[in-house]
Amino acid sequence: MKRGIILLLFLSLPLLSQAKEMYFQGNSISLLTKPELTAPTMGKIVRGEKLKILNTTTHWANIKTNKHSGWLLKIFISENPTIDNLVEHEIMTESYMLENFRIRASSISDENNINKNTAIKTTTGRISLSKIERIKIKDKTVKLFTPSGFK
Amino acid sequence: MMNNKKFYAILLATLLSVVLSQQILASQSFRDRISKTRNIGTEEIKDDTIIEVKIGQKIAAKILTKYPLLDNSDLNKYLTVIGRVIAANSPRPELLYRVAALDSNEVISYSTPGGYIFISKGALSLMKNEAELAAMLAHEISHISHHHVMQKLNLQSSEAGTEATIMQLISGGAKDVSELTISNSVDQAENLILNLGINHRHEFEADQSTMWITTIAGYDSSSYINFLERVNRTSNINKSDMLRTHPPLAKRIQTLRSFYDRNLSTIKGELIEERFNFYTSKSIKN
Repeated sequence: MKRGIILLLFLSLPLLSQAKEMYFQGNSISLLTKPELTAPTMGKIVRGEKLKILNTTTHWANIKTNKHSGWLLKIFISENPTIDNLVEHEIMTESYMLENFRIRASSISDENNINKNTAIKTTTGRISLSKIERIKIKDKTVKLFTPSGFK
Repeated sequence: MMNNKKFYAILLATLLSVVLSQQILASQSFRDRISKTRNIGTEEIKDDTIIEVKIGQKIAAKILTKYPLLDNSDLNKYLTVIGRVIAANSPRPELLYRVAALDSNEVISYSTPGGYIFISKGALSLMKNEAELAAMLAHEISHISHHHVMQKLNLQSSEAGTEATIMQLISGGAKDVSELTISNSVDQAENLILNLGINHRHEFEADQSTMWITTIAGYDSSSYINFLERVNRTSNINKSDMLRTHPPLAKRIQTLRSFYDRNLSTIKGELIEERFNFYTSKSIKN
């Protein structure tokens, strides 16, 4: 009996190791009530937040944080902590892209319409296409792409 | 009845199998592998990432010696914006992704560690909308997110020096890494990306991540399948590099179709043809 318990403890080691803390890797998103992208959302999880895996399917994990629990795609989970963005994206209202979208679209005359026309209805509060106009691409970013080097 | 000797032998065997299984699991990814050698914290990951970007920059420069850049800064800016939107919805948004078009009629796309992505004029000319472009970029970003090249560099090392080189890169941090050791890794990685391909399992993994990420970003993920089907049935194009470094297209399409039907077919995403045509028409559609 005693030996059986000891053996059982050893056999359960891999299972115990799966219960260790993991980290959420993506940008902030909402957890889902079931493992489907269209499922109703629950509380949010933020980048780098610690979580524990309660259950998994092929692509999804049922997870628990200090504040919330819910379903999350497994591709966003790692045992390693996250780092901050290496370079901050400059967020602007007016930008190169915005100007070009205005020139391009005869049906679009102001910023509100641009957002309306390009916004995507997301179910989990992700960064949608409506943000495109607000990401400024610095000239030097693209100039780095030259055969002479990446300095 | 089991005697003590037998019992402890079984116990030892069990313990060894547990340890070995943990080792095998640990070798499944670049970061996991590192985590077995020391406790990884934010600073170490930042150092590793800086090294990864350095390696990626050098591979990108080598790719540009084989294929010239397409001289259209507006298009490259557009590609980069779409790439960053996809990246913001990926598991690895922290990198500064850069995307540029290659002046080549071959149907190809490449990504290097650290966030450098190239897509050929030939590939862009076969695309019908922004969703297809977004999916192609998501595929490349998935390779970067999953550390596919870095992982392959680490695990397939047969030369005695390579393992040490990678570990030196990892443990030494960015400041201690010599240009020579980086360039050894760069040569291997370049060969993987341009000639050998990564491996079929990783390509299928990137394909599935592509479907999730493009959907999360708001695009119609079936566009990815439509694009691959178009590549597959178009005969008068050069797709030899893609076929050499990836699994057979028919198999990928079949797997993706099944994945889409099971997981994503009820979600309606965007295609966005007008914006795509505006930015690509000058250089591509001629």
